[in-house]
Amino acid sequence: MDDHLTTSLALDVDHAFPDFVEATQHRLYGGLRMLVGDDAEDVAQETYLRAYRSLQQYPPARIRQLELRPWLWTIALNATRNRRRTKARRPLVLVDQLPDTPEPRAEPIDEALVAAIRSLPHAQGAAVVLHYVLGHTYAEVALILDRPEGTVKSDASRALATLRTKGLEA
Amino acid sequence: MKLSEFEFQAPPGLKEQTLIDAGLIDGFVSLASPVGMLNVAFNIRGVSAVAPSEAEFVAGFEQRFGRRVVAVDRLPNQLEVGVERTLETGRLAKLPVDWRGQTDFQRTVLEAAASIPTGEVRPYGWIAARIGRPTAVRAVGSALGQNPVPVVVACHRVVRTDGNLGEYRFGATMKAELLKAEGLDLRPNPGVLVANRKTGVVCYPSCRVARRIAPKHQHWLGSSRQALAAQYKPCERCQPLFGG
Repeated sequence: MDDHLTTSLALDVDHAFPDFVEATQHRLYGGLRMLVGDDAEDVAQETYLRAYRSLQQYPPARIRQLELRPWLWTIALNATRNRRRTKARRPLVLVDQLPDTPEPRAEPIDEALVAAIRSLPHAQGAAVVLHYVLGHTYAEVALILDRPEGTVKSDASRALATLRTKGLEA
Repeated sequence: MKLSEFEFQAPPGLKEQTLIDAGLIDGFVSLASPVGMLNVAFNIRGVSAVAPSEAEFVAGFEQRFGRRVVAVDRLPNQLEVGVERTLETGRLAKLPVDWRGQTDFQRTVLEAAASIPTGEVRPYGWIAARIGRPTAVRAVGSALGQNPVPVVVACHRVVRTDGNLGEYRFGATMKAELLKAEGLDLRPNPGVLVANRKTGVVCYPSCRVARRIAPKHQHWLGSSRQALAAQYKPCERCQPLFGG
């Protein structure tokens, strides 16, 4: 599935980028929703913008070698980490920066589970979402997080254990 | 609930907003103006198109610019205030415009038009002289006709020397309405220039200086030749063409 996209992106980034967004947006957004909650849309946009700028600069040969989905998640998790850091520094939201109306959330999502995942350490949350929710192999998760496969595995199972003690994953 | 059983659905605007952010497509909003609803399109470079709000807008935009354009809820923060102010005051000020697709000549013509004060008009030849191409009057006319951002860049303030309003991409009626809305008196003038007998200064009739000349001091002139013959001085504000 990625083959066709990588080939088109290598040929013409501007032409293929909309298809790339179309093919990846639901899972990217869904995974981010679990990791950053209401910031998911912003982080997804930032992720795509960074991805686009990189693709513009990569030579075609490099694009052809990309594992698109893991690569996108590497970018997304960097964006997530930066956002957590910024939020920790600036916890206050100014009143005039609040949106006029709250965005309606269409997708049904287990808020308790999301809250529990968000309270996990970053590496554990990322590992559990990437492997158990999005179905990436441990090898891919290791690639995305740039950590040894063994570490990723134990992060994921520790996270799962935490969720189970809260009665959240059957 | 199983982790692997989550179903995901990205919000409807995510893809479009992403493509706008990347500069691959444009967005547009519909805004109220004195001449009815206007569609204002934008991208990461600035305002890219302005046209009356109508069903053919999207098709027309995509045909002319070769990019997609999608409706969005609101303008990006960095343009919102600028567009509002421009529509209110009639001045372009610091509002960024996407000039791609315009030749240097077209852009120079449009920037000269944008320098005409709100509620005033200048002849096509004035623009030609102002940009250092005094004989390119027809080319000035067609550059104005190609204005991608009418109303925002006020090509409607350029009229014929005889005071006729001349052509407009969206029809002579809209041109008249735009000028009327910004306070121009559309009644025909007794001449193409008006001089102040007391000061010897000659102006275009819509110039703010001209509008302050007491009726008893007004000297209406049918041509710039007459102004030259009478040895009047050109107004420094509206800089009327002389001699031709």
